Amino acid sequence: MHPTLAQLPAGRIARVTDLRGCAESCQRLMEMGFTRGTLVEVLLRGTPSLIRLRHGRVTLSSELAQAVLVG
Amino acid sequence: MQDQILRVAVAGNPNAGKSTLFNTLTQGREKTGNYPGITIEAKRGDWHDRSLFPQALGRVELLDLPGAYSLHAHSPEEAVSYRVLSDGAPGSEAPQALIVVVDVMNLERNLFYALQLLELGRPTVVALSMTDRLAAQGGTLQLQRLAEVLGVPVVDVRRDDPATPKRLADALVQALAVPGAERRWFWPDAPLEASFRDLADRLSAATGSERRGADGTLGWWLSSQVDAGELTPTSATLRSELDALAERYFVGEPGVPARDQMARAAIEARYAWIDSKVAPLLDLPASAESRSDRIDRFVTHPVAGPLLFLATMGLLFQLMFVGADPLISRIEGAFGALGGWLSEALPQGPLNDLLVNGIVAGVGSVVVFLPQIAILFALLAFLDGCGYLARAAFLMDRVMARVGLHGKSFVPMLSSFACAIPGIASTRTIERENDRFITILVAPLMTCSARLPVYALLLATFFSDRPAIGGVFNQAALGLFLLYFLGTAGALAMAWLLRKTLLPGSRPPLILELPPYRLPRARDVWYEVRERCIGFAKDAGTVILATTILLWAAMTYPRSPEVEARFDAQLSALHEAAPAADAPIAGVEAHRVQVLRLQQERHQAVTERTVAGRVGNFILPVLEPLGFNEQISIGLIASLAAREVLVSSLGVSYGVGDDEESQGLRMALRNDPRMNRATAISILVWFVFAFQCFATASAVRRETRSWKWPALLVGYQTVLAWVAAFVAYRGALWLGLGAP
Repeated sequence: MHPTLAQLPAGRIARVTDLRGCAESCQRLMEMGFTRGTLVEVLLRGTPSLIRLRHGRVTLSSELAQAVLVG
Repeated sequence: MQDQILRVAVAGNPNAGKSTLFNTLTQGREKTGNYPGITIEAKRGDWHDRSLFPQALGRVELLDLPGAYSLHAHSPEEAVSYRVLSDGAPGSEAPQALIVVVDVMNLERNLFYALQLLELGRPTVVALSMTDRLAAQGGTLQLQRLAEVLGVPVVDVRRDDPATPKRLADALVQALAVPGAERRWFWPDAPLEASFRDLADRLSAATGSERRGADGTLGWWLSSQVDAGELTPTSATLRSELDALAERYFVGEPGVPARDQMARAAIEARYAWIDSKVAPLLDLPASAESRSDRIDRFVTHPVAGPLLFLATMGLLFQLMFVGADPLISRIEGAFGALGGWLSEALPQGPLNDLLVNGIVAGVGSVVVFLPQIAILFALLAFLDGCGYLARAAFLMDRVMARVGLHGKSFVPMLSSFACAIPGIASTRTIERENDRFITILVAPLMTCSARLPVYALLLATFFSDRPAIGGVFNQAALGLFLLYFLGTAGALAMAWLLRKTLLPGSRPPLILELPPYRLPRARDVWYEVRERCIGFAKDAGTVILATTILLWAAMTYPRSPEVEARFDAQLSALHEAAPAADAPIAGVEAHRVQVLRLQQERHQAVTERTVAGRVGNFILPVLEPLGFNEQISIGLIASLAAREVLVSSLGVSYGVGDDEESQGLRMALRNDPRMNRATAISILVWFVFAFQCFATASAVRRETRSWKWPALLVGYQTVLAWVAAFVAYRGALWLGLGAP
């Protein structure tokens, strides 16, 4: 089982492997760039957490961070 | 050729620099329109410099679409973009060409929406914004190559370059010149693409007569592939065709139906295309920490962040109140003078009364809000343009989450400190309907500026001369703080209650982009403020004015001439019996008090017989447990037009004129044996929670498209106000504050 974005320590860079259990929100996450294979970095952990991806910064509430599997 | 219009939509992600470009091209000459029946606002304006286009093109009309991340709408605001693309802006038709604004610093993510728009197959120009920032960070982009792979003109539209409109116009003409450009596909997977082509053809046949025509079908299909409910309705034919295709290519996993899988495949396909074709064209040194990163480390810091937030909010309030105050008094003065002049200049009678106390007073009570609204929205536009509002929403998400709301509810609630009406309108960025409705329903509990004159009068009258608490805190100042706190706490508590009962839902997921920091242009801020003020005057103004006139009529009719005549006879008798100017002071004073008392009695007797007076007396038994007297009861009815009217209404009731600064009204209130600190507290608490504003109800109806929610708002606010005022009044009596 892959860890989720919520478990990734700050400063670590990882790849998105899948999105789980968020239906409508998952689609929005993907539209905003969280597609499989994308490199992500956790800038700030917590609720919400702050993520860098594709040259941009996005904040996610913890439920969504838990939906993003990384590896 | 005079009637020839070329309609061009300006689309792009939020924060991509779309409005800046729109403002540059239209020079701020724009109009906002509403679709009848639904909450949709879309701006349009003419391309200012016509000379950039060939004569034959005619007028070039630009439609400003709200920022969106996808054609598949997740929020009402995104649905507007979809709607304008398919039907055109209100009073206009569907756009023939598109300008897609793409932030070069967020190239990959911005291109996703751009690709969806390119798939529509309309003549398109990609406008690259923030290129100056790219250069400043030492990055480069192969612009020519990007245009080749996208198959459309790509233009650098940096905001401070005067040549931007010309470059963009040339590119637009170039895009329009390509005859029947083949539809672009951004699919790396050939078999899937072939089946989509097939589907597109069949859909074109099925929906062939629709205005969208064959060329746009695929794009529309892609945008509506997942049932997005009311936001982007999908036709039944389309939906069943989709399901059939999805099931042919995708095996649904448990919990993820085939259609969702297909939707995801479409998204990933576009990103895969971007990653392989576009990403190599951009050279952006990622190693160096950007300026925004450094600022963010401070702004989002767990300790420094909230402190900065509180300081910013403190400053915002300070500027809003201190800055607006002189303007407000000047406006009040001007309208007072105008009313006075009209009342003198015109012959006495109902028309005079209607003009002065109905229309002039009504317009005045609308205009008086504008300074605060203008200042608040100037500051909000500035903070938003900087990128700070997104950070504030990020910081507030933690607090909002406790009551089941998310960070995006923060801006509407903040705006409601000036007035709930623009606050309610700004909920349109909130994705889920339940979250949005909760925000709309609690926003009116935030302390708006109309409550301030009431607070100021009662606090100054009953608390300012009391000893400071602990020798430091002035009781009136502390009271004001408590009233703001009570309103905010009430709003949060109601949000929690609504979440638990009528509008259930899980904690709303927050996905929010934090744009890079950037100083906004003064003129973009100014256009925003102008738009907000005009919008307020149009939306709220009409309701406030209408209510003022109606209430004026209710407070005036039916008239009772015989009562008036009786009092007038007594008054003139009293005037004749006036002591001589050189009579002893005590006698002159006693006579003055007598006249005043008689005037007050006359007013009371006349008002009691009017519609408002009867209603006031009728509801009095309900209000008596709160310590309210007839004057207050009638004042509450009068202030349904706008809360601050309570002050002038009381002034008239006590026969001391309607100036809130007036010592006379304070004296009269203090001398009224039925008024004391406990009743003052009761009235204050009532005003914190009570529904006192028809304009708000009308705004809620418009945004929720139903009378159910405004009815609920009125109901819950009234019950809440009564219970809270009752508890406060009894508590105050128990504490011994009922003594005069």
